[in-house]
Amino acid sequence: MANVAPFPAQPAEFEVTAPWDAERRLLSAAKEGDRAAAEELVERTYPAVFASLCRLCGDSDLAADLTQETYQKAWTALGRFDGRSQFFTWLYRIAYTTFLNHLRKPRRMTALEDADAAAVRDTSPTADEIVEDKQEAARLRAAVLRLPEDLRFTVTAHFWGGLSVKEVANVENITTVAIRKRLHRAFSMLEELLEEGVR
Amino acid sequence: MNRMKKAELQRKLSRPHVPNPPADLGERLKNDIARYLQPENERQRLSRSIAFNLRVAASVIFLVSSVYFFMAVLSREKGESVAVTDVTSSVTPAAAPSPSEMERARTEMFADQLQANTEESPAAAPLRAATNAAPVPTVRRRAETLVAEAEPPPLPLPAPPPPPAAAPPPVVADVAEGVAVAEVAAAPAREEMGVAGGRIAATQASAPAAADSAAARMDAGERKETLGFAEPRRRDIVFGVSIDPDAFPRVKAAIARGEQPAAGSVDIEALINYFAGTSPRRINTVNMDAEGSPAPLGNSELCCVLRVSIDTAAAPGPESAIGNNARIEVELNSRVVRHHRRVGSDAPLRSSESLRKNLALTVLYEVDVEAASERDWVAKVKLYYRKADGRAETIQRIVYGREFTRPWKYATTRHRLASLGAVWGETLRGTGSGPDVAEFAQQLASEQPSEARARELAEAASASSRLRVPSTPTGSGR
Repeated sequence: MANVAPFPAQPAEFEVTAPWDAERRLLSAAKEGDRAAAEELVERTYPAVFASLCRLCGDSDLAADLTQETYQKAWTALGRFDGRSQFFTWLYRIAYTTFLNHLRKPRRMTALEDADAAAVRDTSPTADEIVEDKQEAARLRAAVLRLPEDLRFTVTAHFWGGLSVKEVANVENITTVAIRKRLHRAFSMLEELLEEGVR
Repeated sequence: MNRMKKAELQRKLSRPHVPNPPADLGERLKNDIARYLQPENERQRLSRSIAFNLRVAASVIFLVSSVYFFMAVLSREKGESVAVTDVTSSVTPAAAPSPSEMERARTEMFADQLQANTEESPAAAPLRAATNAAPVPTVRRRAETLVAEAEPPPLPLPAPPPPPAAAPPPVVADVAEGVAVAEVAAAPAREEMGVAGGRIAATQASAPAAADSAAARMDAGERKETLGFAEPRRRDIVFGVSIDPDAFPRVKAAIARGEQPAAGSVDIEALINYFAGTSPRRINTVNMDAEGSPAPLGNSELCCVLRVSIDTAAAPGPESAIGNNARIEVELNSRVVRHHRRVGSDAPLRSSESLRKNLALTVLYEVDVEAASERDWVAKVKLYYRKADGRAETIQRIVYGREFTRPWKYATTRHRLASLGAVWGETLRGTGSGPDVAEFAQQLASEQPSEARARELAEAASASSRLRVPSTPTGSGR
């Protein structure tokens, strides 16, 4: 019988690492140009980025385009990411800015302040409570977007971006106490804005 | 705000249901990676070059502004001195400078200015150092262009200075956009890399009369390679590409018997397809992927590898057609691609009609990429086909130069397996380096322990490297 080479030595068992460490390794590799590492980062984060943008803009097609734009910016700026926060936190910041830039661009879309925007866009017949849900979501989104910038980012990052209070504080470079105060103020303002919208 | 209202608001904010992302969003994001992701050293180099360009531009503007200012001042002085001469000529003609003296003074001033301009500017010195140190042809070429811009031409006398030179051109300003596409007609009329005694040497293929017109088109900078999908007479040949799944088991069995497989029996294309396997994610009905990298082994003449893979949806049941009138177009940028050939076959490709499901096809090209910057496009791959409902679809992938400058180890697993499979196949046919293939394959198997094909390749390559090196290679792959 031929001298077939023995099976290569058993590879080392996978070590169980914390997600943070794994993410750091992927980021280091991606910064060096490792495409597979970059793809892995995409796989881990893009559903959440898409969901955040979908909640911000209320349109899944637009959210997909903004997601793509977000990642394009992220890859270009990856060298400037210092790793102090999680990768998704940094991505969310880019996504949020991308969304704001999109709002500021002149466009043909219906303004988000229009409370009937959701109803107008949705032409297919739906159950009453679904229509009402969409309208309420649109009103809430419009109200959130009318908040001052610091409150708006805090609310959207925490509730729609899934960032913890600590992570938002890290991004904004303030204390968690200050973040909670912002949330409190934001709720008060949102209540007023929603009541205005109802009236 | 009372607690209940706050809780209600929190509930509303947390509630918004969102749809799932579109099915192709992940693929779109991954396809952008090659285009937008730059390694760290590239970013630093780019930012340094941009900063340098700005400094050079500022220097040029400053010089021109200074010259213009001096000329304006001198013109004013000349006007004043003439007036003074006219007024005071009767009083102290000797005190006022004569026009000839003024002219001489102005000439001397211009001469001084010329001297300053023709001396090497400080900004150019580090550029020359960079030019001398730059190992990459692309950087050297760009630096030469910038040196010309840093030394503006001498100012003519007495005409006013010419307008300032334009800002340094972009990275590829001197590289015009060009398309090189290889004709694959009845007879290949392109340059080919022939195989000789373990080394791949560039040879000129003879051009039959039918290919003369194709050669003329090549000279014009347009060479097109069209791949078509073939309705296979055998199931293991798709549009002229062998995907015989038994190719590797045959080779493995021969090695297990202690025999070196005959060179003519080694189906390199089939080995490529065997090790490339299927796409790990086949979400859409038809997927296409294109990727480039340097060659896996440094001692090979093979410069770079271009992979094109097509996968159709995996579905149970009989393999029915999910598309027809399919064809692939591979465009190679003639400005940066000097030579290319398809790995494993010299036979012309056949156009085909149908595109069946459960298809996984990979084609490798050996390409010689030169002087390509990271942003240059090297290859554009397009897949045209018609869906079952008659709608025409096009999928395009672009491969940029940066993929060919990154180390091979950063390519995807599928790409690395396909390229290693190709090199191993050529090793079996008498070219290439067997022990290196085994080593690379074992490294890959260690990195990807769940990848069965990596282990298979490592094992087979190790076994074959222990057998005797065979005789002469043959040309055909099947």
